Parts: sequence; structure tokens; C-alpha cells
Amino acid sequence: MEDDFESLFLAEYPRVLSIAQRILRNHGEAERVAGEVMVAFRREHSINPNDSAVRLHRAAVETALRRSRSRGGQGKLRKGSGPGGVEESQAVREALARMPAAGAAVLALRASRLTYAETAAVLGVEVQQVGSLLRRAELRLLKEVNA
Amino acid sequence: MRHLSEGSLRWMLDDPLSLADEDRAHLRKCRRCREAAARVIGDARRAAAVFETDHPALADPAAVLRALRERGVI
Repeated sequence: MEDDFESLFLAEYPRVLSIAQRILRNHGEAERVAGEVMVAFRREHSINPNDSAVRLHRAAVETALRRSRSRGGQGKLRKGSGPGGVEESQAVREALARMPAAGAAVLALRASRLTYAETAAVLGVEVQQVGSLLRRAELRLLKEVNA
Repeated sequence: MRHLSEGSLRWMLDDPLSLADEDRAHLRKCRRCREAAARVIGDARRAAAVFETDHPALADPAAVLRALRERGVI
């Protein structure tokens, strides 16, 4: 049991952290969310090879979005948090917080290198729908940040 | 034949094999779909540039797990 959790942790923590960071745009905050997600999973779930990773990725999305929205994008972003610096990173975070959850999620999941099948499983949709969700999310992101 | 959806074109950008042979043949012949594909690709690249982070998550999961165990939370 403990070995199973350790294997799951070592395999999935980097992607859980990546998902949280893509949404929160802040490494320290993302680390805290990733830790919370792993701890909560350890307490609440038994390991199931078929869906443990999906549950972790979904929890990472939900927890990060909840955190981002509850703070209204007011998390402290350090200089260099994004390619355009702190202002652009803050703009992206706020845009994600305003978007439909599925849109923010599909951007974060794909940027974290989840496959279309993995992304579909996390979102609870058919794999054929991921392209449409991604297309709409990209257009919404560009509109939100006036890119 | 019906034109390709923007979702299908977006999927094709990430996975060219996602298109069925008949869709691929249609795309080669259909100017409207080729223009749509160019739009989808351009938007996807612009969105990726906006969405990318300077500091992609780097993690040493073994060290993180060890720290959580030392704190007694796992």
C-alpha cells in the first residue's frame, strides 16, 4: 500500500505541480497546492492503477482554480513569473480565473503534456471533444489578454 | 463532403494521425478547410506563447515526499 502510494507520488507529482503552476502562475503557490492534493489523496483514496492519476490531475485542476478564484488573482507574483514578466503572468492568471473551468483546465492539462486521451479522462468528456474545447479555450485566452 | 470542424483541425495540429484518411484527402482539396487550418494553427501558436511560463515546474518528487513525511502529513 505504502509502496503503491510512493510509486504514484514519484510518477505523478511533477504533473500535478505543473498543472497547478500553469493555473496559478506562481511556483511557491503551485507547490503548496500540489502538496495539498497529494496529501488529500493519500488520506481519502486507495490506489487504483486505472484511475488514480486521473483523480490526482482532476484534483490539481480543481484545487488550483478554486485557489485562484478565491483570491481573485491577488496572489503575489514575483518578477519573471511569465515570459512577459509579472504583469503578463498576472493577466493570464486572471484570464484563467474568468474562463469556464473546462477551458482553463484543458489549457493547463495540455501544457502539462497530458495526451488527448488523458485530458479527456480528467475532464470527463469524449476524446473527440478535446480539440473543440482546446480551440475555444485558446480563442478565449487570446481575447481575455488582448493578444 | 462536410467541411472539417475547427476542433478536428486543432487535434490534427497536435496529432496529425487523428484525421481519418478521407478527412485528410478533403483537407488537401478544400481551400476553405486549409484556410481554417491556418487560422487554427496561428491562434494555437499565439495562445501557447501567451500561456507558456518562464519557469516550467521542475520538481524532485522524492525530496518533496521525504519532506512531507518528515512533517508527518503523509
